[in-house]
Amino acid sequence: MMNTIATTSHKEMPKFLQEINAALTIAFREIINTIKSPEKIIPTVIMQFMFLVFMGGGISQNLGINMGFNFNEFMVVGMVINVLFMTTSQGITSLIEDRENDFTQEIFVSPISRFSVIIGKTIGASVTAYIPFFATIIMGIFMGVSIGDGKLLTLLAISPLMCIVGCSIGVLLLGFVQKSSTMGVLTMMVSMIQMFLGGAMFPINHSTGLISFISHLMPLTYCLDFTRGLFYHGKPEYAQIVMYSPSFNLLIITVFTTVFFVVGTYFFVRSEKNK
Amino acid sequence: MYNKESMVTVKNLTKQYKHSKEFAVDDVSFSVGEGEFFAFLGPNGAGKSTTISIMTTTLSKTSGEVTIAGYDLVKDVKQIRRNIGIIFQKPSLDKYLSAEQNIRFHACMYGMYMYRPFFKWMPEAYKNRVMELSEIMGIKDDLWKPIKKFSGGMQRKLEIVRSLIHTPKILFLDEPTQGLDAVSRRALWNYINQMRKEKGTTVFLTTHYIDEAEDVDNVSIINHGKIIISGTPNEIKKHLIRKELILDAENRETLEAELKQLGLHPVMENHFTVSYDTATPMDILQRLQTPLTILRVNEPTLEDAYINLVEQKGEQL
Repeated sequence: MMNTIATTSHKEMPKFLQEINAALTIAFREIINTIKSPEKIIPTVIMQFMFLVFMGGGISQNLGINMGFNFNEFMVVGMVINVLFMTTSQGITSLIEDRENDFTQEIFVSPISRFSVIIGKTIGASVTAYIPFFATIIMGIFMGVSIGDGKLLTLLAISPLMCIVGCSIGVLLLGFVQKSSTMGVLTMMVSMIQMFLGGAMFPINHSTGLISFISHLMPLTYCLDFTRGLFYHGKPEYAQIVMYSPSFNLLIITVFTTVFFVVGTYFFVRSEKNK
Repeated sequence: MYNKESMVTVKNLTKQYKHSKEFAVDDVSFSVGEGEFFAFLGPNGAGKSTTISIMTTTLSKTSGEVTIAGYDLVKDVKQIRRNIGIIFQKPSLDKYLSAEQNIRFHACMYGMYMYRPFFKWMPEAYKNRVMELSEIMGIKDDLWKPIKKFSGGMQRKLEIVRSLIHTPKILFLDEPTQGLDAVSRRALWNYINQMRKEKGTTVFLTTHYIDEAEDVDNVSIINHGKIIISGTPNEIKKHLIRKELILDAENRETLEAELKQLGLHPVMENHFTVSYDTATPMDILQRLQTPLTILRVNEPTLEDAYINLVEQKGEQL
C-alpha cells in the first residue's frame, strides 16, 4: 500500500518575483552547464590566445611600432570586449541546441514570460562570458599591458552592457535560424566579421568604401569605440583612437540592442509555436 | 467517478502545419470532465501528439476553441500552464544536469520555490516531495547522477517525477510508459490512480499500450486527424466487437444442429465460433445437450476493438 500523497505546501509567489526566479533558474542552469561541460568554453579561450599572441603579436611587432600608441593595449581592450560579445551570443544561441534536444518543451510549457527565458539566458551567458574575459586580461598582462589605474575597473563596469549587446545579437540570430549546425557557422561568421571590421584587433578609423560601410552596421564597432572612449579618456592618443563621443556610441548601442532583442524574441517565439 | 464539469473543452479544433496540404487535426471536438481519466488513442501520425501540443500551449492551432481548466487557450496561456503537468513523448531532460537538478529546475520555473543552487538549501517541502516521488518511481538512489548515465527507462521515470512535482490539476501523458519495465509501469499507474482519487486530478492519456486505457472513463479514437469514435471502453467494445463463444464436441453435427435450433449462427474454423449479443454464455450452455470438448468465452478487450476499428479503416498499426 502506498502512503497518502504529500501535499505541496508552498505559497504562490507574486508574479514579478516568479518571473525573476525563473530567469535566475535559467541563468543558473547555463552556469552549471558551462561548469560541467568546459569543452564549450575552452575553444573560445584557445582562439583568443591564438589571435592575441600569434596574430596580434605579429602585427604588434611589425606594424604596431608605427601607430603612435601602445598597440598591444589597444588590441587587448578590443579583444576583451570581443570575447564578451562572442561568448554571450554563442551562449544565447544554445537555445537552438535546447530545441533540438527537446528541452525547450520543458522551458516553454512553464508559466513564465518568453522575455524571462531570454533574460535568464542573457544573465547565464553573461556570467559564463567572464571566464574568457579574465583569461584574455591575464594574456594581456603577460603581453605587457598594464591594467592598473582603474583600467580593470573601467572594463568591469562596461562589461555587463557589452554582454547585453552580445546577447541581443544572439537573440536576433535565434529569430531566424532553426538548425544548430547553421547557427554554429553563422555565429562564428558574424563574430569573425565583427572582430576584424569592428576594430577589435586593429584601428578602423581610416577604413573607406564597403569596409567602412559594413563596419558602421556592426554593434561591436560602437561598443569598442565606447569602451576605448572611456579607457583612453584624458590621454593624448584619445583623438587618434576614438571615433565618436561616448554619448553617441551609447545611443547607437541602445537602438541596436533594443531592436535586436524585440525582433529576435518575436520571431523566435513565433517560430516555436507556428509550425 | 468524476465530476461532469469540464476541465478540457475542445471545439472544432484544426491544425494544418506549414507547407502541408492536409490537416493534422481536422475539426476535432471533445470534452474531459474534472477528475476524469480520458484516453486519446490512434495509430502513429493520427494527430494525438499535435492535439496534446496545442492543448499544452506549445503549438498554435489553425482554428477552433480550446479551454483548459476554464481558461482560454489564446487569452490565458500562463494560467493554463500553471494548471497542467506534461510527460512529453520525447524526453526533454537536460543531460548536463543531475536528476535532482532537472526536478529543481522544473519546480522553480513553476514558481513553487525560490531557486537555490544546492539541494540542501531548498525548503523541506521540496526535499520531501522529491524523495517521495523518486522513491515511488524507484530512482531515489539515482537522484544525484547525471542524466547522461541514465537508461531510457530511468529518464522516463525522472520525467514522471518532474511532471508530478507541482501536483497539476490536469496531467497530460503522451506515451508515458514507453520504455518502462512492467514493475515501473504498475507503480506509475498505481500512483496516478491514487492521485486521481485523493486530489481529483484529471488525466489525459495517449498511449500505444491499449491495455492501459482499459480502465479509463472515456476514450476517443483518432485517425487521419478526425475522431472516429468516442465513448466508454465498454461502449466502444460493444459497438465494435461481438462477444463470442468457442465451442466444440466429438459429435460436431449434433452440436451444430443444436446451435442453429437456438437461432445462433455457428462458424466453423478450427472449432465452432458463435457470436452472442443479448443472451449470456450461461443461457446458451444450459440449453445444449451435446457433451462439449471445448468451451471458451471470448470477452473482447479494448485492444481488440481498437485493432478491429483501425483495420476496418485499412490502417496498418
